Amino acid sequence: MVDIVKPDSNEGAPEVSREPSQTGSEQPAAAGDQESHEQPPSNAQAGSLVPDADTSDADEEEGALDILRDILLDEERTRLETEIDSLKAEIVQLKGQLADRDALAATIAPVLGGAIRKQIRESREEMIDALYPIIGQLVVRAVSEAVRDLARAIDARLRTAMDAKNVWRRIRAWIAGVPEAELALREALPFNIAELFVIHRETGLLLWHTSQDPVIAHDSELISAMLTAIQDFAGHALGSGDQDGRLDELQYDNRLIILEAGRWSYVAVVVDGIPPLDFRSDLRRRILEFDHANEETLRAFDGNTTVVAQLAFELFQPLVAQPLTDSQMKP
Amino acid sequence: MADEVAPIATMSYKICLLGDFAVGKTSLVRRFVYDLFDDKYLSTIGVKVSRKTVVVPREDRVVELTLILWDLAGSEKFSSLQATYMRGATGAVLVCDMTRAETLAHLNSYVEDLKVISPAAVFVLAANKCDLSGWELTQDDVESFAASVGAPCFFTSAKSGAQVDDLFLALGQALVNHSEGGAS
Repeated sequence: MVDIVKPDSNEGAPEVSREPSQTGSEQPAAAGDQESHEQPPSNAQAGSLVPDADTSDADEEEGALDILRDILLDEERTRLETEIDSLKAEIVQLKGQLADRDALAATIAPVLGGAIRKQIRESREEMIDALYPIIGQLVVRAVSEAVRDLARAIDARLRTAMDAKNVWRRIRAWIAGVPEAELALREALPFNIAELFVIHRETGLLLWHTSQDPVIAHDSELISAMLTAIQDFAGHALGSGDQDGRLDELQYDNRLIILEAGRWSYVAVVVDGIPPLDFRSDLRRRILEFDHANEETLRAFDGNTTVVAQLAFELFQPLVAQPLTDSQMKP
Repeated sequence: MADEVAPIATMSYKICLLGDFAVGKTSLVRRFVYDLFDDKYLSTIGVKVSRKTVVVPREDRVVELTLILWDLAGSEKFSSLQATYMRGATGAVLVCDMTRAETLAHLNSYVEDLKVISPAAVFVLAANKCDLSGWELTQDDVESFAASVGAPCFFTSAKSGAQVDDLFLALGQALVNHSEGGAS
């Protein structure tokens, strides 16, 4: 821009000099310029103190350029100053956000997930290396705690080595041809019954229900009907239409719903953990006993559940009352 | 008067809602009960289950009835499943749309299907959408059909709530009468 307006001769200088000077520094230069035309410079002045004609012209040019710059760049300068002020304000705000951890978290949270996913996708190995010290420790700690719990459970069982449960386990291990220790380990795995539904097979009506969480009891009748509908749907969609094909279990998240059917009713058990080896057979034995005892009632079920509730309680409540033990499995 | 005495028994019944697509079965249930499962059950497996408790007088006492309402999808897509879902139903609410004459005629096939599966099932008839104009059915049409299947009929509106409670109370009463008849 300066190149375009810079004059090659002195032609522009008189024009500029006619205009009022905008800066005080230009005034002496203009005066000196006038003197230089009237008086010859002395030797001393010619050396350095008094500008010669060329210097005066250059100053004049420079002054003119300054004015021209002011005229041409004033608007740009104003805009830049405004932008700088705005940037300063933003910097102050950002500094504030960096100082405030909550504000910082709120700012980066929306993009953090995506950034991590992208990084893992693009640099899987590096991410594993970076996270290993943290995740590795967590995994080690969790596994250690689980193994410690398991060891405690096995210890507790082995301390009572001569009781009936252990004798029975030894016999089972001998019959099954597996080491007793493996059987003891299997039995020590955590297992809990969260809910148990006894449901009339044909109508889907709830016959009896128990739960460790009393809040869920409110929906038990709807759940029993929907479980029946789901089984009907699966039987219709996947089976041959007869009543022999049944769903055995439904998995939802960490929970398993085990279904075991008798002739007139079925039991749905919501469990956490891994069921013991003979849990299903025990469940089947109980539901068959329940069916057998209530056969007349269930065959022509009139909707009155009170007549079957007592036996359901006696057969199934012990399973839910506390974590399953051998004594409950083999009453 | 019914509130003054304790229920002598709690009975549960499976009830099916039967009728063509868009006659207002789901709206009737929604009007009658409030504890509903999400509608997605209907679109996924062709049935939605709701529950409502009604108290019905019997002699000098009352019976508390838990009605488990199976709202069966009326669309063709689920027609083959309907018989499966009807199993074990003690009663049914037949629903037709007063503004579509064919919906009453089609109820015959629903009645026949349910009678094959549950011969002793009791019926009530809901002539729905009575709040709308442009009826294609007359009151006589509905009443004569209801009489032919032995069902009390009600002119309902799920929108205004007209006769909806009466419909389900009549069903409850019919179930109690039926069980008394069966017991005797």
